[in-house]
Amino acid sequence: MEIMKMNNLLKNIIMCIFAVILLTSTLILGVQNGINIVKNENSGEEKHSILPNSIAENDNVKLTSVHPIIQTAEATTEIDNKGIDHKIKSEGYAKKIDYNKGELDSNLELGSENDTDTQFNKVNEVTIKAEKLQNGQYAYRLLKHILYDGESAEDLTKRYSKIPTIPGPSIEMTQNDVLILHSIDETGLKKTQEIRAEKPGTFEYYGEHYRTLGLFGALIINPVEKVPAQINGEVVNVNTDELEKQYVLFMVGSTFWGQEIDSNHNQKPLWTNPTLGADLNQLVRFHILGAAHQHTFHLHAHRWLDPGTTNIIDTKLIDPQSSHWFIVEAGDKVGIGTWQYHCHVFAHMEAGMMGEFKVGPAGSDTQSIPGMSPFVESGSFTESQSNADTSKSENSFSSQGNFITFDITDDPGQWFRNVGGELLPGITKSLGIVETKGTAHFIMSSTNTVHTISSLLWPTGAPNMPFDQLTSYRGGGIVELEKPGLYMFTCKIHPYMLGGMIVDDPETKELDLGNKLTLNTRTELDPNEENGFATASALLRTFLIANNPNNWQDYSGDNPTWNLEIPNIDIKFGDKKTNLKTFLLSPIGGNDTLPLNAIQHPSKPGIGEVWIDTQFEKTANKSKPGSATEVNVENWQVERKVALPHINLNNPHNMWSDSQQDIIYQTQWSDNRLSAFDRHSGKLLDDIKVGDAPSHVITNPINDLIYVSLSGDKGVAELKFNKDNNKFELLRIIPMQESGQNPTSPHGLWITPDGRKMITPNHFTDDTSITDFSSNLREGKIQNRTETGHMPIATGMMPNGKTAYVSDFLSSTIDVIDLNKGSVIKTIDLPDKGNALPIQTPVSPDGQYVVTANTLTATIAIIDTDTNNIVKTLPCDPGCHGVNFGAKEGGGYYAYVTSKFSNRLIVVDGDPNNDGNPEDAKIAGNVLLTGKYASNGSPLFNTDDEIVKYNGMGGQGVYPIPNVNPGWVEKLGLSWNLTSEQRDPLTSFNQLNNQPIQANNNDSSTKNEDSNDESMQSQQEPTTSQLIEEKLSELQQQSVTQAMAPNMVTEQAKNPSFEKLQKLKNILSLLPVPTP
Amino acid sequence: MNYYQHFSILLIAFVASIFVFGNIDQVFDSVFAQSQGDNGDSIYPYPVLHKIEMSVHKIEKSNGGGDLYGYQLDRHLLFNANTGEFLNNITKKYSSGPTIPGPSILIEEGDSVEITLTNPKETGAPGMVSIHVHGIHYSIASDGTLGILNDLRDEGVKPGQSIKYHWTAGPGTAGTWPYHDHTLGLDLGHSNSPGTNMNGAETIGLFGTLVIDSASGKTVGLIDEKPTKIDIADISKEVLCYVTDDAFWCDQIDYRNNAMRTALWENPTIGLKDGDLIRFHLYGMGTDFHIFELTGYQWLEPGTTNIISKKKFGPLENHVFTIQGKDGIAEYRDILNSISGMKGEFRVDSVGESIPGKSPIN
Repeated sequence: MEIMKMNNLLKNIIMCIFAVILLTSTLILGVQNGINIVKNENSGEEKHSILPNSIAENDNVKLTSVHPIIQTAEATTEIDNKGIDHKIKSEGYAKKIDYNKGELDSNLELGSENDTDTQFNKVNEVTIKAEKLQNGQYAYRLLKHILYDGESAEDLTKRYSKIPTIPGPSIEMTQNDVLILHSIDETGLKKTQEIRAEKPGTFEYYGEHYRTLGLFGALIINPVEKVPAQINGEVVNVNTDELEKQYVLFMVGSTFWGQEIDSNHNQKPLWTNPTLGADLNQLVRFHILGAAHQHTFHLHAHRWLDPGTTNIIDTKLIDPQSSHWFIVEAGDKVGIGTWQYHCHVFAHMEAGMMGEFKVGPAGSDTQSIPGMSPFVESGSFTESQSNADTSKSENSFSSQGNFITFDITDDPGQWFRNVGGELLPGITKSLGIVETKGTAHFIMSSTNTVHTISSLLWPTGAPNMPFDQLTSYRGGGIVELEKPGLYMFTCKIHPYMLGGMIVDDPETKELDLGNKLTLNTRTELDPNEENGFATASALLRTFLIANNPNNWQDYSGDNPTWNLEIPNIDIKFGDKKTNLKTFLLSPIGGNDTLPLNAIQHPSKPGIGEVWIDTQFEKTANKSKPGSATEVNVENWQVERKVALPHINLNNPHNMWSDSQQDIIYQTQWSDNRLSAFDRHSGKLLDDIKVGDAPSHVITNPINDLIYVSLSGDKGVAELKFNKDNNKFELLRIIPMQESGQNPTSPHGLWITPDGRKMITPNHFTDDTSITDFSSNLREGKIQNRTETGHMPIATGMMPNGKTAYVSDFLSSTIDVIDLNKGSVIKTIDLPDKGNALPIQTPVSPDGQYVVTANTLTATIAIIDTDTNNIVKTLPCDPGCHGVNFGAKEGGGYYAYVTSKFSNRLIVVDGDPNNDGNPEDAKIAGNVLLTGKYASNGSPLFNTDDEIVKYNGMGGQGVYPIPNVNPGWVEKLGLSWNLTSEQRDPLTSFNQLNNQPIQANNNDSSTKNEDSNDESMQSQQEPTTSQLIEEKLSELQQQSVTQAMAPNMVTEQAKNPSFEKLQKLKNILSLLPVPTP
Repeated sequence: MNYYQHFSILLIAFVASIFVFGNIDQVFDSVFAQSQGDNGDSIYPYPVLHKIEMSVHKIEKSNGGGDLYGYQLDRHLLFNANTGEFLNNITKKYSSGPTIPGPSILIEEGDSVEITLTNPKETGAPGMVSIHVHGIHYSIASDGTLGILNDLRDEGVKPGQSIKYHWTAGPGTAGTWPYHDHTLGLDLGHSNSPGTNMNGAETIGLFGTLVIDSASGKTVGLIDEKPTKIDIADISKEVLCYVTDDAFWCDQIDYRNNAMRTALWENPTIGLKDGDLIRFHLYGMGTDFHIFELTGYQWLEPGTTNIISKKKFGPLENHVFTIQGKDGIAEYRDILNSISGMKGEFRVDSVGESIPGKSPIN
């Protein structure tokens, strides 16, 4: 009874107390529901994610032409772009306004008395302007904010920062107020729109362009009622007037862009990843908004009410459609401390997406500390630099401030695009130059797939290095570069994507490359050692070739020449002072103009055709680069180019076909799709999303199932192509690692001729997975993972399916792997014979030799499979990349070799005398990949789009038809004019293998060079072009010898660990002599 | 529990209930039913101090590809937080050995936790490892982060060391919260990239769940398609799954079996007796985002009365809901990744037994 009474009493009291709360709660609930509706309408979240990411995240086309775009359908009742005779349609008042005057008419009548439903109290007239910052980013600046209240007008402009900021000015207003927003976009176009603040909340406004580069800001509509918040463990209603501080944080790429609003509504820019300061138990509000990519916001040790729900959370999904706000007491129940806030997406954390929430003792007046900023006071940076050393201005590079932003793109030659433009005009778009403690900032906003932002090279001992992520992702990165010197960043998936940063010491006159540099293989490059000096030169030269399409080798025209554009600036590397031109050109003869060989077709034809992925070719009717180029190898003419403009084919990387050789499967490496087109007509058959960054494709020769390595994902996609309806069917994705293990990023895979085993080199984990289909073709299981060198990238298969060759890109080695034991039989060192950074490495169909394309040295290595020694090194072009074998007329094979930064195909005859010994391997000729044009400019080949740039450039995947690789060749129809040996490579392999194997081949290098010379001479008198080739080859050998002969003590050399170190040191110490 | 605390809890429960039920009398009754000790599951009518010992162990992957790590529960003792009196040893309720996810720790609002983490010299992690917890109250000294982040000290343990963290489940902390490593990345030596990662190695197995039940003893669920208040004591099974970039990693607490934990590992078959109540606790972990679906079922979006049948969430976001099992086999899956195997069965029958999935322990 007592309890019952108590209960009734309490009930009454509490009923009274909560009656008020209930009322307000109900109101708030309505408000929150309003926000909910906004969310629902805006997001279609789940729908978005199911769409290909290319559409979900990168499609700017959908944006309307409104500027800026305001993300509040609910709050915006009328938007007018014309800016004239605009009517504010309101029950509260109606007034014609002439916006051309630029100001509101002061006779504005506000708030008609007899309207009680929607009473719009005050009018905010705000003008913002989009401005370009010195580093190429954009920012909004507030020009004016006038608050009209009845007859009076208050100028609030002083609340705002005088400079353009990222995020832009936070426009604060009160619910039921009206906002007249004048905005001047980056082109100077002025537009006006009206926003009625019916629903409270935080919304994003952003520019039609450059949203990812800084044109975004918050529109904060403060509620007229109190709002619920969890304070001291209770959900209470708080008045937003009582807020001590507000923090606006935008999550973009892998960076927070912040701003603080104090209790007097004064704003302070906090820029990137700031320290947010507050005193213990101060009431603060966070506004978290997304402008690009998906994130989860987390703040340590604080929890809050998720608006519109009763849910208490501490982590919240933020995507470009969402905004989130919450109120907490700083250090509530957890006390003072430096509490981390960060994005909880793991790769974003690794890429630097974090800051601190510093809660100081009560009364300590703990201040926020801005982070690194791209804003430069007009002219200040250049002044300080010229003050430090006036002569520096001779090195003519324009200053972009101390904060460089790279946009990651799918565009050839500007994969890391400095949004500030070319620091060294005409030289490269992918370089940034800053002073000590400069910032490198990255955002993946112009690409359709995932990447990493990984440091490849940095000044030895530099803080924050190495910079890397375990998994590929969509986002960005931010890192402070303190130590002077050269930094290079790459994507570990697409290692030709390179971005350079030079931190220049203002104390020195020259541009500083650093004292010593460290490669991400942990090799040190010491300028005082010849190989260190040479490697740095090679890398920087490669960087300037890859990132400047004018530096690519164009073989079209009558007298092709190669003009290298290298800036003429003084540099300092260690104690060595020189000129960049000398530094980069002297190892290749000192000239920046070199004649290129005229195209010379092989004298003996091949059989069929070869398809080349000319991955960088730009065509008129699509935004993404690349096409597949078909070369008829019987007459060496380009017959067809397939660019597939209607699906915006994006960086086609590798191909394979069905067993009937009718349908070509095409991967799109900078996307997530696999396409199929008709080989005979070039017509698209199907295009399917398979997973991120599909790199290589191969079929199982037994059942014709298709296997696609997803280098941006965690496995290999297995598909079937149904010829009945010309559709792909995605069957499954076979993971290449066990759950929880770091992602493998599989690349150039191969399948044994009997279809029982698949080998996938794993970029990220330095090993190779062997998948066993033996027990059941439909249930491939990972047999084992074999440790290899750094960044294994491609494979080759022996005809008997027992041994595979794996090229280790960063180690410059080839691992020979026993597929049954899963063990490494031998590791072949490529630098020994003048090769570095190997890519594709197939075995000849008769199993006699391996042809390896080496990209840094621009060389082709021939490995004898009997001895697993390199027997020959042949010259290639810059960015030497793809290799595959096709049939030669009358027997034997041609290896077709492509190069990324050249537009010719090199044809290698690995065994001209057909004796099974590749020591006579030679270049049989080459083919121009641009195709022929009639005098009126029309192409003399079939094409589905018009080539506008980089004709024939970007050679990567190679797929000869007929596919004469063992396993597939047996499936070919009889119409192909192949020899019996070509049709049955395994038998010829076994026969040849029964021949006595050559004895000790220790001294093969000298022998090979001899035989090389012999074979050259025996053929014919060398032509001029051959002489040039020889001369360059000689230069290369010299520099290789120099590089290989460091001043080492003999004892040290015998020490295995030292040897290993030395081997690593030599990995990249070779000159990339891109041979004409 | 003092009057003030009690009052504030009532207040929260009250306001929360208004949102959920919208009916003041119903809410009033439910809240006061609790105050009369009618919730059926509150074993201890006073705050409990949990003394927990955990350790980190390497789960070796001899087949290559890098080792995984798991938290292991070594001891869990209960004490009366007011008097210090020993109450119980519930160590036996946990799985033995390291598990992924780590031990599911179940406490009540008002309780406190002293958790000691050991990194054993031989079997542990090669570098500094820690526990960083979400949701619960703790001082900066128990943040489990590196000194470079917390400006205090490295709050992890190197091989052979132990560290004690103090957590307090103060009012307003009720919920499901993750705990995970925040320091290991620095020393792990990933083959390609030791990195400067100061965020730990949370993705390779070092994560677990802390459930703080509301002092009201109540939760809500969707029963017969209606939002319904539920006594937590009436729930038969808790399934706690981390949705990583490549699998569902699950643990379960079975109240039909004395609250025994069973490690269910990867993409298990989750079993439930027909008609029983089950609470799902889902967490994102890693880099990917997910859309969770449980075919044939609907549930309440947490903190609302919205009925949903799928939910998108990202790393370290939680998603908790209670439903009643319906006879038959359903599939739980991540819509975005089910093609790569991120799915499993939810099997409701007369037995209700879960079948663990593939374990990484060889």
